[in-house]
Order: sequence, then C-alpha cells, then structure tokens
Amino acid sequence: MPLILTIDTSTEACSVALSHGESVLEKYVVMPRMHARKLLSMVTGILGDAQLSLKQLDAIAFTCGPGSFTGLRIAAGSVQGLAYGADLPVIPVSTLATLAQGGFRETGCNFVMPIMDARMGELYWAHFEVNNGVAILSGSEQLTSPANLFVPPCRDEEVNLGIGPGWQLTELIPEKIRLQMTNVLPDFYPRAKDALILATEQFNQGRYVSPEQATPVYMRGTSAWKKQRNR
Amino acid sequence: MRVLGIETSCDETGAAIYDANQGLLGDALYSQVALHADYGGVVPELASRDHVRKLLPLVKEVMLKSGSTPDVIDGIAYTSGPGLIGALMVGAAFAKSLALAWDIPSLGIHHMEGHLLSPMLEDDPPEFPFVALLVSGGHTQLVDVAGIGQYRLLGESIDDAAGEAFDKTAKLLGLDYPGGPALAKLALNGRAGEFVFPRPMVNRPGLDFSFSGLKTFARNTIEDNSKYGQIDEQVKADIALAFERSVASTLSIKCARALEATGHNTLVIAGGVSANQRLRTALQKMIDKRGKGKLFFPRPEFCTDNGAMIALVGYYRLAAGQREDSQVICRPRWPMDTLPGI
Repeated sequence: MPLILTIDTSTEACSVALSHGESVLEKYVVMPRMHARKLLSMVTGILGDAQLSLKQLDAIAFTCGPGSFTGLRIAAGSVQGLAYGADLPVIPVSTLATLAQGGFRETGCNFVMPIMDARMGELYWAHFEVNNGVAILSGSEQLTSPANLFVPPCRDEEVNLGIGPGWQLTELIPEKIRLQMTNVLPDFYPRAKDALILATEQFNQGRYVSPEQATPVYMRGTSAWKKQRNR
Repeated sequence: MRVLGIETSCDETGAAIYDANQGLLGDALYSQVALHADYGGVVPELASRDHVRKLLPLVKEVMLKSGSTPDVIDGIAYTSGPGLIGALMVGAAFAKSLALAWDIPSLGIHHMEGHLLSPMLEDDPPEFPFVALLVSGGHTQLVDVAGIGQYRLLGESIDDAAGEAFDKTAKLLGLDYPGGPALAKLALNGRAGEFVFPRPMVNRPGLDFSFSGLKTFARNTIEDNSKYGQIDEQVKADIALAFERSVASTLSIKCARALEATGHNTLVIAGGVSANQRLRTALQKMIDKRGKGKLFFPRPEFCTDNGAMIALVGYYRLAAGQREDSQVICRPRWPMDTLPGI
C-alpha cells in the first residue's frame, strides 16, 4: 500500500490520515475557523505516530472541493508547501466523493447522494455508486438550485443513502428527494481516512499532479462576482 | 543566512530571497491589477484564488534565479498581516508548510514594517533613527523609527488613506482602476493655479491626516465645471493637478512637523504612493528648505507590495533568533507599535 498523507479542511471538520502498513491512522476534529491553527500540528502528530518523515511518503492527497473556499485554500496552500518541500506528487480528491466513500463505510450502502451547502441558495451534489469498495461518480458533480436535485429512477430505492451537511438544509431540499432516501446522515462531514481510500485508488492509476497544480476546485466560477457595467 | 520571503496580503503575489552577505538574490512579482480592474477594486475572493495559482511558480522562479537549493535556505518569512484575511491565509499556510517540509524556522512579518524598511534594500540605506511616512492605498502613517521593531506612531489618517483618496478622485475623473498612477499622469497636463484644493488639517496641531474631504471637494469641483455631465479634458487635468498638489503639500507639511517634533533629520517614504513623483519632489524641496537632513525612498518596484521587503525583515528577525510555533495565524489588523524589537 502506498504511503499517502491525506488532508481535509473543506468543511467545519478538519482531519488528516495516513496509511500505515495495513491500517489507517487518522486525526479528526470539528473546529470551525481553527483549521489553519491546528492543521500542521495534526500533520506532525500523525507523522510522529507512524514514525515517518514527509520525505518517506509516496504522495500527499487533499480534498480539493467543492467546499468552503477558505478551507480549500488552506489545504491547497499547505499541500503545495509540503509537497514542493518534500518533492512529492499531489492527489486531489473530490470532497463529494469523500463523503460518498464515508457513507459506504458507515452504512454499507452502495448508492450514495452527498449534498453540501453552496450558499446563495444553491447546493453541491452528485450521485455515487460503490464498486469494489470505492465510490465512483455517476454522471457529474453539480452546482444547482435545490429545484434541480434529482434521483436517478433506475436506482434500487432500498439502499439510497443521503449524506453530508447539505442535508441539514431541510427547508431547501424538496420532500420528494428526501423521501427517495432510505437513510440520511446530515451530520456527517468529509473525513481524510475516506479520502485516503480514493487517493490510493487514484495513485495506483497514476492520477496525480505536480504541487503547483494542487489547486482548489471551487465549482462556483468567477462569474458570481459582478463586473462594472460600463467596461 | 538566506531567507525566502513571501507576500500575499492584497492583490500582488511576491516571492524573494535575501542573503546575509549578498543581499537580494532574487525577486519575483505577479500583479493582479488587471484582474481587479474589471471590478473597479480588489475583490478579496478573486485575489485569494490568484494567490493559490501564482505563489508556488514564483517561489520556484526565485529559487532558480538565486541559484538556491532547499538546503541553503535557512528560514521562511511571510506576511501575516495586516491585509485581506483570505489572501494572507494562502501565503501563511504555504510558507509554514514549506518550512515544516524543509525543517527550517518560519516567521510572520508585519506588511507595513516591510514597507518601512524597504529603503534598506538599497545600496545607500538610511541610518536609524528616522521618521517614516508610510503612504499606500490602505495606510497613511507617520512613524518615529528608533530601530528595527522600535516604532512609535506619530500620526495617521483618521479616514481615507492617501492612496485611497487618489483612487477615488481618479474614479470621479472617469479614470480606470487603479486610478492613482493614471491621475498622476493626467496631472502632468494640468495648469497650475486653475484650481486650489484645501490642505486638510494643516492648521491643526498634531500629525494626523484626513483625506476624505478632498474627494468631496473634487466631486464638487467636477460638478461645478461640468456641462450636461461632460467635462473638458483640460479642466480634468487641471483638477488632477490641483488634487495631487494638495496631497503632496499636506504630506510634506506634516513630515516637516514630524522631523521637528522628533528632532530627527532623516525622512523615509515608502508604500505605493511614495512612487508619486510630485510627492517626492515636494518632500525633497521641504528637506532642502530645512537646510539639513536627507530623504530616502525605495526604487519604484519596491514602493508597491513585494516579497523582497518581507525577505529582508524576515532576515533581520530570524537572524536575531525570533521564532514562532506551527500555528498558522493571520492578523488582518495588527498595530505596528506592538511588534517586538530585536
């Protein structure tokens, strides 16, 4: 198993994980607005627990989005510094896929629909199907208004899992979507140990980038900011 | 000792390397001015996004330019405030992570201390003590500088910064963002004496400034001289000149007072507005008139934000043994007189 340090600061939670032999080490805290303060001590802590140095690793992974813009940049900036400094490749992992992977770990459900709050009345969401223990994206990741949410009709309704903090927005999510879920875990945040499984898969497939390409995937583009009219 | 400096406090991404024996070895800057021009001002979220894309390529560039390998870098300095929190966070997270990977110390630097000490990057640096006038889009401050980290605020703007007044007045004149340099260019065609702007607060004791009234005065002057919403180009140039003269002369009067009050003879100007030629000329005239003292300012590229000044201050402080822990902490507001001496 490759040695991959994985970082998540995309939501209110902050976590780091490291593959260690056949087991996985993780440090996880829910601590809004404290990520920047805690992240590096969590990194040194987990490396210390595994008795590894950065240079012994094979890669560094991070959840690249969607998520809190500031959180994504704290992770991207940190990962760029660590990976450039230790001469390692970087594996960007989808935050939505990380939630789906966590949902599978928690419940064994094979069909997972993560939703995250995108602010401005919109949601980040996608559908994942678990195959050989790995969450695979069905279709594409979406940024839409709640009215555009849908659940594919061919799905086995017995096993649909809704997951992620977006499901806490009960006033936004249509009742018919909620009713198509067998189970909903609204208080579940992305975790580095779930991202680590996806990162390992991506690493084995050769899907990694150089440190300067470790940039956030915001989904919300720059058109959200209004330009001056007369230009 | 060799220090890597990183600046990401606002709309410019900077990286530089300063060496104890050889001085500045590499300096790279990416300005986001064109990006923000479309929005008429700095959009914090977009600034932060650009820093994440540009910072590492700039760091690699200065490492290459200076012929530095990681093992010859002894410390990393980064701007930890004041500035835009999201923008600061990018540089801080990167700098501290890189320092961890390279197993070297890192240190958060005060952005305005960087500006204040930027004339020390020149071959003929000023000697302590001196009076510093920090003028930029975000600050207008007079500081009594006894030594590194020994700063006493003598006065500051109670409302708009001088650079802010430049940009706002330029906007009223229909000039593109950032308007300061455009206004200065327009003023070159102005006729002296066509308009006279007030010199705010020069008749009051103390060393504080106020520039928001100038913007209002400019608006009224523009309205009074417009016909059907149009204003003659020559009149615009005349107004630009009158405005610029007012700012330069107000700053000059207060600087003279600050030199008097402190008994110092050396005046240092730094920050974006210190690149303004009319201000430099006014201050030089004031010094000449005093018959003693000397004026120092950084080269034009170090008047605006840059990584070199951060590397320099980082070198001074790291060489003095100053250290910090692994917590990434940014200080969007950070009074300079709370800094430790060395």
